[in-house]
Amino acid sequence: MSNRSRLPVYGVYLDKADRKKPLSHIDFKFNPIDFIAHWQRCGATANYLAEFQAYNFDNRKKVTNIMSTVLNELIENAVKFSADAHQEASISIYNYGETLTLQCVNTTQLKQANKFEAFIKTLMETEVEELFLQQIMSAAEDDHTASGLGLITLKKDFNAKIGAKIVPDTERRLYTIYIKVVLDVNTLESL
Amino acid sequence: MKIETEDYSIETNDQQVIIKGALRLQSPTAYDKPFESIREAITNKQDGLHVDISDLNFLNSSGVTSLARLVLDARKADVGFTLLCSEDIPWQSKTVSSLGKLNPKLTINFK
Repeated sequence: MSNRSRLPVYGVYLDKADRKKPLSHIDFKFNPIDFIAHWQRCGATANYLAEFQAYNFDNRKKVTNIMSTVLNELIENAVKFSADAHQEASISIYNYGETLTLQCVNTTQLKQANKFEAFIKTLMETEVEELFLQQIMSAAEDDHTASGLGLITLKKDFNAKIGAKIVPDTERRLYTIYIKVVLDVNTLESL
Repeated sequence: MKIETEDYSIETNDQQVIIKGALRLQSPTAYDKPFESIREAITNKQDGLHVDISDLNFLNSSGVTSLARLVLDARKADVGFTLLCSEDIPWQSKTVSSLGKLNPKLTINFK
């Protein structure tokens, strides 16, 4: 990644930027160490943010469940893959009315950044149901500490549009990973 | 046998396994212990295993991997595996149906 002339950007980050002002916007910042020590806080945070966001949906119970599932996967990933557990990570939700855009940011080291980039390329290029089964078979054979299924299930089960960008911080020899997940409001209601 | 925590419960008896609540453990390996009784049931129950997850509101991706491992274990042991799910819980109707491709003897019922 160090010899690259331009930033690695994938999926929805390549789309034309949405210049619309969101109807609402939440930023939640956290230190991964706090969630490592109290793992259940990942789920508790996801439930809290989901409940707030699902408030204006007709089927609030169902949308809360979906939003919590999506947010929990993003928060768990940020906690697991942060290079420094004391380095701030964040999750943001932008409500544009027709879509909900979620962005998760955390910092990681070169090895993990390369691994993530290879994964995101595969996610963009492979049929998602096939990738889900491949990933399950691979995880079943080894005792992985992470399943690698999170973003795959969000795309497969909830028709989420996914994007990622990896921004090097040369001074600290770290990489900032941005993951964007776009959910269509009508799709959420109809699932 | 029953494992009960603030977030979830797993009850294994002669007829079935009932999993309820929110299972969001840290990694696939963190599921080894809570799922131990289910693995034992697969080994001992040649007439098939029934797992009721219809009150399991959340299962994170590490848990989906671990559930898939059980489905594959049942396939290896040639033991029938029935999952009772709820249509009202979105991840179940989506994720669980994909697990059917891992084991032709997996039966998925919805209530």
